[in-house]
Amino acid sequence: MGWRAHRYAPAPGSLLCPVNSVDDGACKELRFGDGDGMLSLLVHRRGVEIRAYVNSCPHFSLPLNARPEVFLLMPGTRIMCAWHCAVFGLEDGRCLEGPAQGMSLESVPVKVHDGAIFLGEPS
Amino acid sequence: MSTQMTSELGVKSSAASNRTGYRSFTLGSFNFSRDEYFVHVTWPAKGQVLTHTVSADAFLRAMMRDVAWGFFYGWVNLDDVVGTRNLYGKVEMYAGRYSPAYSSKGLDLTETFDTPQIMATFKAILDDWTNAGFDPFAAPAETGKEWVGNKNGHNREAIERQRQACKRMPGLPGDADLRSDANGFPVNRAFADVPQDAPEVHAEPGFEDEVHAINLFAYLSRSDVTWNPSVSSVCGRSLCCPTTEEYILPIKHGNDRVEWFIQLSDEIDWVVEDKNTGAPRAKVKMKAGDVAAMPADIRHQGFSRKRSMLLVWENATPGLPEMYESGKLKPYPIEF
Repeated sequence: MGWRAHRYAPAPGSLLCPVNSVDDGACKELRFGDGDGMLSLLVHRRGVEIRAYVNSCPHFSLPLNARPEVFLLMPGTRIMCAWHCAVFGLEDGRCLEGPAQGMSLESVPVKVHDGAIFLGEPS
Repeated sequence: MSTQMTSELGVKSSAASNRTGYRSFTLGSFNFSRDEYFVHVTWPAKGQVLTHTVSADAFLRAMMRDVAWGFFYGWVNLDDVVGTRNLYGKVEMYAGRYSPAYSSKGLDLTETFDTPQIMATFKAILDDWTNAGFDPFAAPAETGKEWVGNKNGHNREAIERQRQACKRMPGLPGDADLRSDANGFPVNRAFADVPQDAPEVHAEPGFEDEVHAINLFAYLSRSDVTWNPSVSSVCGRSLCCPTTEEYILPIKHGNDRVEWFIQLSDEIDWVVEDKNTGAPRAKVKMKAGDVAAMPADIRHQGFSRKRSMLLVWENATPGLPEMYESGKLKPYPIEF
């Protein structure tokens, strides 16, 4: 089941957050819904480049962060899952080392308009 | 404002020893070195430097699991004295903390590291100290004795092998592949008699893409590692992680949650100890078909004289460690 089928998935075109709410080089978590069934997205900003993924490590299907808004960023635009150390490239979401090799973070299309980040259309 | 942690992954190591060829490594106040037979871990306490010595093969097998499992859940005791605790974002390295002979006299040490830093250090140790021909994942009968002696090459193919995991279940479209001769997973020598047929699935019309089944015994018979659970079904936070076991579980696992074991074939003897003191709690002989719930306040180590199949059932619910630590959940699942 893709993330768009999630019961809390926002509709294409939905406002996600202002660009300047994501520090350059950092990640921001966006939550939709409540409790264990919520949908968590991860937005990464590098200069003017914005990437977004479903915040779920494909190893154990857990969020990449164990604590709210605390992400383990590594040199080389990489992020490490806080639970069991799978490392992903934030450029394309591919697992580079650790227990989720051969898998990727699920990409979420976004677009930027007037200083805000919106959910993109399905490709 | 979000909080971010960026590690520079500074691995501190010496030049290769002129005598043995191995490098030594420093992590905080801990020092790790090895020679022909032994690994030596040192740490400062009470104005002195304590030294703990471990057979190099046992140490490499243990550290291989800690690295491959990403520090796993809770405590991974590399032996009775040294180990790690996963704080999920940070990792504690300790020596003597859970060994009363040390801790009662203040001779223990615990230091906390960013996870990327300790992981990078452990990987560098494994890379340098694992010689060609020695596979820390393999049973002793299936690998060489090249762990003995001076430095002799690497075995990166073994220590960096891809850890198998699935999103829902192996064999589903877009998910992990089933194991086969063709993709490098021959039937293990101990499981030559395990039938390799596949289950028949007869789905109602309209449900053809929603029903899936595999022969788990056949899948496990092709496991190429020991004591290394791999995620083989995911249902919400319920993870079935079957594995094959032979010889000794190289670590003593102190879980931060209840962990269920289902013995699928053969036997494993478990030694169960108090998590904090190592005091004996139980000895459990699990035979095929037996089920056990390992409590959240113990550490355990298994012994399997013949390669056996074990299903490890994990609850991946975030927040469980805090619920056990606070007493909201009891450390065992039922009251007798």
